[in-house]
Amino acid sequence: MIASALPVEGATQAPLNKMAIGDYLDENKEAPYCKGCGHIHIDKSLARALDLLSMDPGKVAVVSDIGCMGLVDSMLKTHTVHTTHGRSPAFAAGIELADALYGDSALKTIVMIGDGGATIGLLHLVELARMNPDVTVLIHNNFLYGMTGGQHSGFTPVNFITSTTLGGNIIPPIDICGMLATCNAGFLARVLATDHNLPEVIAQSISYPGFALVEILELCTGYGTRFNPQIQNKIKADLKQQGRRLGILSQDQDKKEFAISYKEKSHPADRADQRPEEGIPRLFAHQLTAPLRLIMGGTAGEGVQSAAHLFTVAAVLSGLFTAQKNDNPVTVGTGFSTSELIFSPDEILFNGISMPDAVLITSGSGLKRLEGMLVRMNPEGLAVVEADLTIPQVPGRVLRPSFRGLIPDPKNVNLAAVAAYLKHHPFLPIDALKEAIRRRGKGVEEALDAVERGYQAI
Amino acid sequence: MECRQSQIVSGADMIATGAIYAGVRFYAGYPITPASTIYTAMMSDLPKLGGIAIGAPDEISALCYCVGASLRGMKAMTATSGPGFTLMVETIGYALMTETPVVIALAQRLGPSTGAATQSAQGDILLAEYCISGGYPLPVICPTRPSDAYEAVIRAVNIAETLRTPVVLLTEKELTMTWETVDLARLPYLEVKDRPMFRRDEPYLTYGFKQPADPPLFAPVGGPFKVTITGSAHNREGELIKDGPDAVAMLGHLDVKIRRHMPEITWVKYDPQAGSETLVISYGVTDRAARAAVQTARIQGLAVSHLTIYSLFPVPESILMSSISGIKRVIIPEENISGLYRSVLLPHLNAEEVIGINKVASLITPDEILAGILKKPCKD
Repeated sequence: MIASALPVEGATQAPLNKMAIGDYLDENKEAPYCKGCGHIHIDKSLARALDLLSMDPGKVAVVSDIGCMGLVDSMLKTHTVHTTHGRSPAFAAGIELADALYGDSALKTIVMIGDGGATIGLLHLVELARMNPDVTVLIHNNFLYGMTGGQHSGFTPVNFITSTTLGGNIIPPIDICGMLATCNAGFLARVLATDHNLPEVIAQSISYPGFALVEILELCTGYGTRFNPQIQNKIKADLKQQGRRLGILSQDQDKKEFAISYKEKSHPADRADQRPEEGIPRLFAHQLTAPLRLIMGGTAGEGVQSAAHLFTVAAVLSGLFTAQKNDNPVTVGTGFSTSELIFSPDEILFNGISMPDAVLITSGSGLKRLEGMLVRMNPEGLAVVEADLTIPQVPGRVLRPSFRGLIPDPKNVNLAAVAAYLKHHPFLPIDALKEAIRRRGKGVEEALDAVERGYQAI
Repeated sequence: MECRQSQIVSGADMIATGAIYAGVRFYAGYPITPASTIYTAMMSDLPKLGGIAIGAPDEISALCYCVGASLRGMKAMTATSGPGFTLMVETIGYALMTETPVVIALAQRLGPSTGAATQSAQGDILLAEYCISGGYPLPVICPTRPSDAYEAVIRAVNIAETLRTPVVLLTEKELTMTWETVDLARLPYLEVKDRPMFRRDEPYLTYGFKQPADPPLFAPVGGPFKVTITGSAHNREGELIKDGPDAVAMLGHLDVKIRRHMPEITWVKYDPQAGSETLVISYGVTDRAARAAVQTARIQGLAVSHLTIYSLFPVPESILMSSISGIKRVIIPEENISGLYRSVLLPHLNAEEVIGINKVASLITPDEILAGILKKPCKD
């Protein structure tokens, strides 16, 4: 099958055969590999594939990994990015996404990685297979780490002898194509470096508009054939025994490239900006001359932090500076929920609370969390604690309203507590809190009702 | 004080807003408290501007995506906390070696290891600076509050772009996860700077710096000039060489490129007081308590000078030298056990006493710093 029959992103309009291998690979440079190494076959086949597709070398980026195969960049006339070990697919994804979504989408990104890189960077391959960016990956699988002395990798066959599996490897190898098939990889192929159709298979993988991976099997003459002299004749038989086919294994023409899906999903026109552009106006007056430090706590899911937020909006509406810090257990939906609040007529410097001026507690889990704060509160201060709860001796004044029987929706209990507090310490008008609720624009009636009930509670 | 455009925002909001203002259009993230709020803010805001914000399967991928996008020509940023930052270290070294602009926001939590995700800390300061294998300078910028977080991230992006280097924006839980009133109308105006681009009609060398302190002119991968990027030791062409004068020149370049641009990097707030023999040096969240303590001390009639350092690294040596003149006692509050930044500043502080106020797992209070200021100097 002629690969150029497929739509090719990044291909120029130049007629076929106008380019030559020499336009991609500097043939005058000595290949930096051992004699007989398969890497040079793959490099030349890549150049031949680019030639078959008449691609502009200026619109190709080869992202190479660590290992002997990564030395390819010294010979290439395309853009080259020589990366860290196993990370080449992730760097390539960044280049490709930027090109597709922010550039002219004319660049073809091709990863050259070994079996060692594919072992350490396995997650990147899994992720790219899932994402489906327009990246082609050529795995040079020679079953071991050649550059570092022939150690075994995640791709080393069982019984294969390496410098670290002297009695033969005992761990079965990763079937990368099988694995990535389960991740919905669009294009998968497995070939031998010596296969005559290698350039055509690579060309097809490059033509594929999405994530394409070719596992290319070869032998390391430095260690592989030296340690395993009979291996040459056994590769195909071994593959057959493992049930691993050669050739193009899958080619899904219906998969949508990541950049296309991203464009479709990421710009919803009806999406309202969560953060309003204009500021919060000063509509009310406050009575503070010094900072007020308040801490409130209750049960997760009962609106402690959102009541605290409305409280800060009310304060800003009254011309105050505020700070809010929230806390939860590790899982946010259970146990306590607390907010530390500071209200100040001037810009807040230190925003911690060691001795609170006010403590609001609406449930047992809130009390459990804040009991320490309650007992060391400012003696001049004011606490509001749900009437049902048993509390220790408190230095300041304590109000004990019963919100539970009063407020229909427990989500508004904490808002009622804020209202009760403001009634007895009106440092800002209750109308400011009501205005903050109206500005939030959801659940307004119920919230205003809770504020009213809280205000009247005690 | 009258505010004109008050908003209630988190430090994370201000970091996202500043980054977008500075031209960041690529963000890749992985969730981690207390940096997740930066991630969610960017995921919400960047696509609306035609930018790209994506989730990655781990922090390694997140930074690799950013570096790849930056190589293609985009301004890129990620954010993480201590555990994720340690995973990113490999790629920070790569960005430094390949001279790729990128900003990494490190929102500190209590360490070591998983530590406490929502506990403020200043324990990663040396990890941030000294994470580069081989020992090369990495600019570290540290805001103290939401309003200067905006300025800090713009400065960080500008430094990353103009000097072609990774930059760490060091912050912490107290900043990213605290919501405060900020008057948006009073945010400072900062010029947005871009990386120096190669446009000339002459052969392009990927790392072709003219003077050792010059960042090389940038050409994007996929652009009109062939680029040869490598994380291996290289010459100006980007060819692998492991020794010899060209390799040594390149390594020297990576060092002086940062050190000779101190005026662009240095950012401090020096608040001297005539006749003071005490100087408080502070950074990050602790600076807020320090400022409150200095204010109180002055009200009590004590002469105290105060130096806030925002550009933690490279250490602003000349500022330290001038601000130490006449000072007998230096007080450095930090939320870590041993006084990490103090250990770095010590050689630059020619004073009789350098006192650390150190604490972990809770905020250092103004009173604790004030106690240090009020303590009678030790006499032998």
